[in-house]
Amino acid sequence: MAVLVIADHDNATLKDNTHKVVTAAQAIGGDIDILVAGTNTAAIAAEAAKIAGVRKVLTAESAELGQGLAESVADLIVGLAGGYDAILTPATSQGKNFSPRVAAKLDVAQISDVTEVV
Amino acid sequence: MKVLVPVKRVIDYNVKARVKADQTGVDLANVKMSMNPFCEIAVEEAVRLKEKGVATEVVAVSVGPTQAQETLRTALAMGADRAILVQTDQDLEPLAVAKVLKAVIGEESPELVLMGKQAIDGDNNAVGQMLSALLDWPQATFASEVAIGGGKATVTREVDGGLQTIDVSLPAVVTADLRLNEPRYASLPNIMKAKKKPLDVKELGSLGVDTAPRLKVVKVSEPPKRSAGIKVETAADIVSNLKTAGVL
Repeated sequence: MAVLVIADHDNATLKDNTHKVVTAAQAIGGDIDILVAGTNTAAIAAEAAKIAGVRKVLTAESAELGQGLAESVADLIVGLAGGYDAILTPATSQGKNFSPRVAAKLDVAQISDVTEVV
Repeated sequence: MKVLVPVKRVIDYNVKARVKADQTGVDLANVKMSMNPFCEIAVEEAVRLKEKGVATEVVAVSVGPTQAQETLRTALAMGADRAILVQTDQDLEPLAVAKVLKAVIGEESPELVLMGKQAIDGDNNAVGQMLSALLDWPQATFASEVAIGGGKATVTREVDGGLQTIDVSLPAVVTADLRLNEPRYASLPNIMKAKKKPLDVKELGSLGVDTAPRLKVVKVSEPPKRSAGIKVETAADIVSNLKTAGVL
């Protein structure tokens, strides 16, 4: 069992939402990896690696990903999806933008606005 | 340019939703149903594009029960040219709806799909993005301004903490946010005219789409009730109460 968490960041610093999603991922269980996609990913990845319970941090760096357009972010995540049982993202406007795209490409359901993993 | 506008029949936004006693879902018996407000905004925008001469035809589509014909008639009364109902009594998940819409788009070949960003019943905010992924079209979600020209759409998007303006090449899927426009009320003559506009009904089965559910609903429940507050006499009481509650 492995869970991929998509980091929420502004190409400069990691946002606190990421920590909350990692907590949800821990409730699901299994190994937790974090994906940092965008620009300036090294510094953000270093912050993400400090979160307790994270197995590894993946980075993907390009100017296009830095703009956060749903099409490119979704394609990247779909490429990584094979190794994971669940993919989690904060329910920000950015997360809501690419996440259903990922779900549709994988032919799986998306569960929106999760408040608790039972 | 042909514009396709998917619309959904949902519980009216003024009605207080009640959960069924057996906690399997929301009680829809004898409840007023209307067009999802975000879908109204999408219909309005499409009709305005037609009035500006940008769009040549506006086609409204709904996936749902027979009664969704009323919702489509509302779209026709607002100014859509014709309507298609994909009839089903199943409660479809967003992925299934996106697949059904993709099948309809295959037959209709619109250059623009304009739809609400989410429905106020499921609140999933997913069908537009899923549809654009299945079609491999660009997407512009949460639109608060749309301009069409030169084979592309320039869309201002409402994102967390501001606005983002993007160009997408057509065909594309655009989803409407609340501030895109204020939908019109259909006039009585237009409501009468809408009754004569064409409305095609297709059976869901005729499209050959996999609509099998991916999720199982375990339980539907109301949000926890808020407990009543207490009155305190002095500022010191507030502080001590906050300390007991562990807030300070």
